[in-house]
Amino acid sequence: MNRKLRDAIRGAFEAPAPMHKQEFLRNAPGQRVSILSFMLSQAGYIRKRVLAMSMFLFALSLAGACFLKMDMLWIISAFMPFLALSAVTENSRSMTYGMEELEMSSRFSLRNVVLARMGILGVFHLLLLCLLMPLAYVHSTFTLPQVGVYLLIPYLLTDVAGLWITRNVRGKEGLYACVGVAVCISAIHFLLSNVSVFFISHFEWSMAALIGLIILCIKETKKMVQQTEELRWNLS
Amino acid sequence: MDLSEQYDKIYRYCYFKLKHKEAAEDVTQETFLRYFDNSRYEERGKSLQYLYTIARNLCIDEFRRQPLEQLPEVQAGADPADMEERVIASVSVKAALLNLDRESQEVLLLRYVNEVPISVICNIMGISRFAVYRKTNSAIKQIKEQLGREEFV
Repeated sequence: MNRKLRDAIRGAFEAPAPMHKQEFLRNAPGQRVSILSFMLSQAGYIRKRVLAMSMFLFALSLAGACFLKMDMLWIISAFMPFLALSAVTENSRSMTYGMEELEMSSRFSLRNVVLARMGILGVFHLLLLCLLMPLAYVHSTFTLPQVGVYLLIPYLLTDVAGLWITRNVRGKEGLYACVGVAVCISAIHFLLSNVSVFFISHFEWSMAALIGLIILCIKETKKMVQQTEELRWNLS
Repeated sequence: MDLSEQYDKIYRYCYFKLKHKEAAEDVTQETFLRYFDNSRYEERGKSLQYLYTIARNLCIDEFRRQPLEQLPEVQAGADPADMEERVIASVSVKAALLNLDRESQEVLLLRYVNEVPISVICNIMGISRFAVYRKTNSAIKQIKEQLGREEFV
């Protein structure tokens, strides 16, 4: 159907303007909460240990860069998996403790709650990363974009692995597996500081890895959201 | 769900059903009040379908209670000079629409004006997806034939 005909059909069905719309909307009893107030309400449910982990990492980086005056890139990078771990465990909290059914019958659906918390933590960690980047850069031999890439890679790697594990391994076993993976990635990154020259000369590989991880992260997030929708369908 | 946007759409739907401005607005508000009363339907993914089903049933009740005297369809507050060509097109399409059966008109309203997803239309009207496609295509074909204007074909 062409646009003109569609517009003409719309015009043909046009109704006279409602008289009491604004008055009704102002006094409507079931007004929904705005996105901002919903996000703020969900921020309150994020466990304090997640914020404490971020604060610890920031304090460590600040101390290393300003007082000890040492190259902090690989140390911060080694702690990034734990930052990602805190986000992943927070997002999959209801799955870990078998609370999906209860959360799905609450006022806000599990999907919205998970998306809101992921969004809040994502933005919070992005801001933290922006603060950590200059601290890691100060005494480093790498350029600022390289610092950003080497901080993001362990974070995203843990994120992707964590999301995959929590999707496939139910209960607390999934949580333990996530911790194991985070420890392994952290240890590998700490050891990589010995071969930093290799990374300076092969930055394009790291960029390719980062792009690949971003794509995987998006895919895993979509699958996780999809899983909450399937659960809703199964349990309804 | 954008309440203001849905208010307009439900009101348009009720007006199509009742052809009476005040009654359509009353039914629209009653629809939303009933929707809010039943909080079990919050965030369950079928809110649109639920809203239209309430509106449809209330329109039927209203019509049964007292067949409404239809008011002349003059749009209050409409600017007469407002896009002459569009108005002419609307009038000829309106005339063509009147030759369609009520169900086809309802399908066109829901699908092209209120932009309701096809799966929801199926559930509101209690017809199959195939029937929705068939009704839409035959209605469009009929309108085009009646208009016979090159710009619409």
